[in-house]
Amino acid sequence: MKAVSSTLASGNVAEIDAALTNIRMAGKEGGKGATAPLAARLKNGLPKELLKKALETIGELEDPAAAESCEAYLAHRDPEVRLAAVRCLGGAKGPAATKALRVALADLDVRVHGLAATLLGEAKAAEAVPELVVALDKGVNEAAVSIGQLCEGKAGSDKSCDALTERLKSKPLDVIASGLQQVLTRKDVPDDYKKNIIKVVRELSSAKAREVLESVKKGYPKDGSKAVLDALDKAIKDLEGAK
Amino acid sequence: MTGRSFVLGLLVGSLGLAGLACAGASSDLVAVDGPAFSQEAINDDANQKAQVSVLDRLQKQPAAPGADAVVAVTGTAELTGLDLASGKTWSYKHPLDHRPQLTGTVVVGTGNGELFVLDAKTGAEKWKSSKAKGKLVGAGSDGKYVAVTLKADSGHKLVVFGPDGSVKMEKATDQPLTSPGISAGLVLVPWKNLYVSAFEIETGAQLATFITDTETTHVVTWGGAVFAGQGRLVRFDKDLLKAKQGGSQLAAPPKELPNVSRRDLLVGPDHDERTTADAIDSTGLTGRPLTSGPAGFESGKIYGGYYPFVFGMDAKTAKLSWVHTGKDDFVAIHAGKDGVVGVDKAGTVKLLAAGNGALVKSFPLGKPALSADILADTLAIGSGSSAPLPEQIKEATTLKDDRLSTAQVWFLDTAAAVPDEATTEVLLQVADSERAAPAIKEASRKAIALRTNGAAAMITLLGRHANFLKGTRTPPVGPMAKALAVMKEKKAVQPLIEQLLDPTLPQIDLQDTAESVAVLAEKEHLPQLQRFMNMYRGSATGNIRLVDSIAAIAAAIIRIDDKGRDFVVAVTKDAFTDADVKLTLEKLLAASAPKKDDKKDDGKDDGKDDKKKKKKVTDDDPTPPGYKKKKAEEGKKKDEKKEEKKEEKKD
Repeated sequence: MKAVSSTLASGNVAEIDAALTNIRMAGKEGGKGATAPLAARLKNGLPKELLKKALETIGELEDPAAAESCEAYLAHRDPEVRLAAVRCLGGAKGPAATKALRVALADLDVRVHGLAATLLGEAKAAEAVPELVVALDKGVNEAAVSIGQLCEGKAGSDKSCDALTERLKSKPLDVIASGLQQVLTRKDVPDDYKKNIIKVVRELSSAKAREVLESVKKGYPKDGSKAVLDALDKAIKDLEGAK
Repeated sequence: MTGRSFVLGLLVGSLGLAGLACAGASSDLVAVDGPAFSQEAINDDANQKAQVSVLDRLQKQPAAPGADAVVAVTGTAELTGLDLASGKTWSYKHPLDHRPQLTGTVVVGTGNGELFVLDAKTGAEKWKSSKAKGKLVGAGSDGKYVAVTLKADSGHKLVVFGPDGSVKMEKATDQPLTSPGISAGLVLVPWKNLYVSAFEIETGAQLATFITDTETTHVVTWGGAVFAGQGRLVRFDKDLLKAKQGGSQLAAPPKELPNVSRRDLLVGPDHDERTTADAIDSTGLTGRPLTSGPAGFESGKIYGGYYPFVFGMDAKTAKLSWVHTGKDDFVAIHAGKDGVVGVDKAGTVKLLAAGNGALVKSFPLGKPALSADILADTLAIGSGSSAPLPEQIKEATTLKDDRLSTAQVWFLDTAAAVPDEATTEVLLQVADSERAAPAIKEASRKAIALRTNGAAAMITLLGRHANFLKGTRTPPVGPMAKALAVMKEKKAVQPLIEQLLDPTLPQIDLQDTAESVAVLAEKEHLPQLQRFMNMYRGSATGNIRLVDSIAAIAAAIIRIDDKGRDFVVAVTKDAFTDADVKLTLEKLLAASAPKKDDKKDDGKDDGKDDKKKKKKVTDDDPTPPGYKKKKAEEGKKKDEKKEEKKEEKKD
């Protein structure tokens, strides 16, 4: 890693580019010691393409210590750089990265806030559900899946999965279904809550609703609750012939 | 047929038809011989004596009070009237081929080949006549007589009707006659846009002809006095005889009138042929001339209209006093003694106070108005409370309507001239408004950049950043930054840096923000300034504003930090710094390099800072001490290596 450090500190584009490739190839384990020299390099600035590559590389190290370096570039005027910074945060993980992803969710660029919404779900940032709901209402469809992954399977909280069912009629069904599918396949959500979701979808009485439920059934875990599966089957049967 | 013989022919013909004789005038008046509407005898002694006698008569017998009323065209064959004193409306149905006119206490209209006269207060029909042949040009009345000027194929005519609609007097000419007025038993008829001839109605006697020395298409009677003109209004008093020498009492709008409303107080009569209002009606100018003393306007105000706006201006300077923003375009405005009356397209009649534009009263006509005529001769509008001018300007300038930008920019210019904090806040709100048109925002941004107060409001606004989830936008940072830098407002540095480091800061604001940060930043801000430079130095080529912003921040770094120059030198030399940035920084370094003879040119020598002085005089190297030390060390190492190599060779 000593060699990597000195290469990264150099002013040679080709050498730095090669060093970044090597770090990526070394992967999470092999590139462990590269976080600090990469962070130092990022702090001193780089040309755009190299900067994006450096951000993605440091992200791939999955080192929470990289979050600060990633976050700094959420302030870059170029949305492509910010997008790379969000990917970087998604890789870095950890509380600091999650916090920064929540900041990125408010970015004006559609690609940046869309990716942040997705990565918040992957980061299991349950505290971000209320913001994801706001994002969903503002047309960030990616937020639906994340809400489905993170929401609470009970009513009456600002993190409740009810946020999805409540939007079944105001948002495109495909979008909300992508989130509900997550809820229905989660093991931590009570069966009764899932059955209620199935009931709400069935009440839409449309072919589209049946397609959604069939899709859920298709991806339903083999070790999933039989009661939920039965409810799915019944709802699908009820919706046969629905237009 | 010559012009004169044509006139005579018409005159004889008309006299014969009407059976009226040009009898001698009443004893206090002087009759003048010769053809009517002729300038031949203007300089004759008889005309001059007649002029004096007419002016004496007008002074002794002030014009009868006119109505306080509105008449609007509310359909193709429908008029709706309003008595401004009681608020009562009336309607009258009759085909219309000309916009009806309010004069004296009556409404005069034409249509379907007949002239009709209504009581302005009640709409009651007084009489109709089919004896007014030709196209109506203008009408005047004192409530008793009605005079109309008409245009026919054979020439122009003046016809004066009595209270019962009978023809009292008729004159024909080939000269263009415009809108007459009646006062003291005399009819005063403007002709050829410059002269006014007076006739005694009862006797038909031709009296004096006057030169107004201003474009004259109307004779009007307001507040008991008689005025003539169009763009400007000259009063019929003894000073009128000095009109040619510039001695008349001529009420004129100020020269500084903004290029917003029309320039003339009255509109040429041919405009009234259209029964539907147009842009000329919606961009009116009105003022009520003083009835005595030096020429001027009542309440010291004139009033302009501009679609949904009515505004009061100082009658001498045209400085904006107030602006009223309505919901609908105004189709007519008319000045009263202490305010202005306006009618909008929706058919709402508004009475606005002269002093502050307060909406004192409003009356509904009950129907949309296609056009309107207003007369407010004795009406006292009164006063009321209204928002202060900056607030009125804010309301007016945040109305998004492309037609309004000329007026809105003028309003903003007016606001910009008011140096108080409240106005600064209004300018901020306009520049920040989503509703304001781009041109208006730009005008307010320019004004903000020149403000020297309102720092607290600016700093508060700077705290707002664009946020997708919150739905917030970036405020007008650039102009605020410029103003705050001039104010040397240190509290603004951090919020400005935060905006500078916000990717949503618009490109247009970037350089102003960077330059202002450069002026205000102190040592504690150094890390943020360095961060900005590092973030963009490698990706700024082609973005001139960004390059110049980096240079501004670099200058600040040099200014506030002893080692700042080293930092900038290092950035300049770094291989990853863009070519454009390098070039700009090199120029900056060259321009900011300590000069050998900095102090030599300075004639002052107070004996202080001797050490510094000595250092500067002796130090002719532009590189800072830290950098020099580093270079010296590098040189020393090179020398050592050379020595080593030499020794190796020797070996």
